[in-house]
Amino acid sequence: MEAVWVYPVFMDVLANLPDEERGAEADERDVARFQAGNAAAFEDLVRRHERGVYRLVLRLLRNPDDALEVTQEAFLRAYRGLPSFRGDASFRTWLFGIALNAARTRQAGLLRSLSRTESLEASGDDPPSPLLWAADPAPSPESRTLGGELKEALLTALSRISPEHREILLLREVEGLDYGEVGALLGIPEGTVKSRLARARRAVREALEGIWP
Amino acid sequence: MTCEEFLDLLDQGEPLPPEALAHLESCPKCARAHLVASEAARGLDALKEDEAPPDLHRRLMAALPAEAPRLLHRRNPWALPLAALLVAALLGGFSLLSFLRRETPEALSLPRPSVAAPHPAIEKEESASTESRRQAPPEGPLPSSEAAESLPPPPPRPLELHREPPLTLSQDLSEVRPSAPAPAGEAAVPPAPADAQPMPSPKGLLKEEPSAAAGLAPAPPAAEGESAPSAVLCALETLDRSRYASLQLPPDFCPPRGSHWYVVLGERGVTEVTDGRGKPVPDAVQEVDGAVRYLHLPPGRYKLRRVG
Repeated sequence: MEAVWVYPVFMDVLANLPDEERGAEADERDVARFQAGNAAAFEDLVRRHERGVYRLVLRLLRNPDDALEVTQEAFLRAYRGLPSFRGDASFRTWLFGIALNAARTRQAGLLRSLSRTESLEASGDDPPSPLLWAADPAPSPESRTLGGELKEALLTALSRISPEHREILLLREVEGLDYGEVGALLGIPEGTVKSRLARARRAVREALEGIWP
Repeated sequence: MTCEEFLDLLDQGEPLPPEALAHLESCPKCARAHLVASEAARGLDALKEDEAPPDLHRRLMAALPAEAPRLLHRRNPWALPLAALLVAALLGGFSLLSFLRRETPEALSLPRPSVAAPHPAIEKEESASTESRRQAPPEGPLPSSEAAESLPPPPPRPLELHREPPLTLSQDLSEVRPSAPAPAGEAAVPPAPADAQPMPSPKGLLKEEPSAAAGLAPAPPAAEGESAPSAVLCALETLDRSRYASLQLPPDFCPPRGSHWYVVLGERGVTEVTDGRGKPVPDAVQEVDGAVRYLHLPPGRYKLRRVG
């Protein structure tokens, strides 16, 4: 009689597992398959995380073409580095760390190109270079077509805060990483994560107050 | 609650306590901040929208290399020390074994194991075989001429036959080609040609048909003005131990090509020669007997074959 009740309870617990936990288990399984020699397991990992990585990179770079290239680069680095992945952190944390570093590198390159372009341009009559778009706080075309005014204003506010505040807000509030994952990814303790998140919320709120009616 | 305390609570991202809600109702500035924070949270939720291109997966997979990365399996930390220990043990074992093999007889004052001296014919036979493998070096321990001189003088023979020492299979077949009779009492061993090629295993040779054996093809027909071959190289093979010896016979007293005879050496010096069907070949008895006794073969049954 008890067994009849145990099974529904067990199934209910399984059904109520957060997506992140089920995804983490699937990641562990696929990583093990890959490290055992099944290279096809990597495609399952790509399928599970490709949209999250692309979204994070797109929010950081604000350019779909750059975002696609950096996402490709991140998965390529993961593909090459996965044989030596030790599992100290979750695969998602590890992958997002790779993507974050690739995006930072791209951002730094874009900023260097921007500074060179600005120094070469004598007057402001010429149309802005495409390279300016990455650092331009103005709303992007894709945000105008896909998002509303609030989304556009928020993106502008995000572009006006510091990179470390932007990164931690996106990782926590958009990608849904918990404090431990964010701390492991950024290399800071959980207490620092919470305090930095609070400062980031204040920064984006103050930035948004000047834009949002 | 002060405004600063309220804003600190607001930026924590946690639900506001009742006292904070009360402050919110009395402070328009904090009410505005609360409204903007709520809009920011709503805007961050809007950023979760999927804006990935529809062919994202295909493009990502296309960017990956076709070949799988080199897998670096985790190594057992004890694997390397254990492997080194195993190699050291193996090397030590081999060294000890070789040392004991070299030193044990003297160290233990044990006599070296004696090897029964082979029969002279067999010894000579093996010497010939060894010589064939060594390609008859000039400074060899027993040159063929010396070997011939060490042999006892041949018995008188009724037929004129070159008194050459028995050929070994190491010697080129050209040695048994027509040649002028050597002066009496001189061991007529023609020098080995400089380009003499090493011959295959004698045993293997004997199993091959003469015409098919490389290097043992029949001598070309004598040119006009040359004399017919006076000696033919034959092989004498024991039937029980597969040992062999080589000898020369006049063409008339050796088996026809592609066939063989049997030679039986009796205990009392009686020699019988029969063909492959067991039919006696009396004409060949005397000649074969002379050549066989020249080799000092022990009594037994042999198979005689022409190899040249």
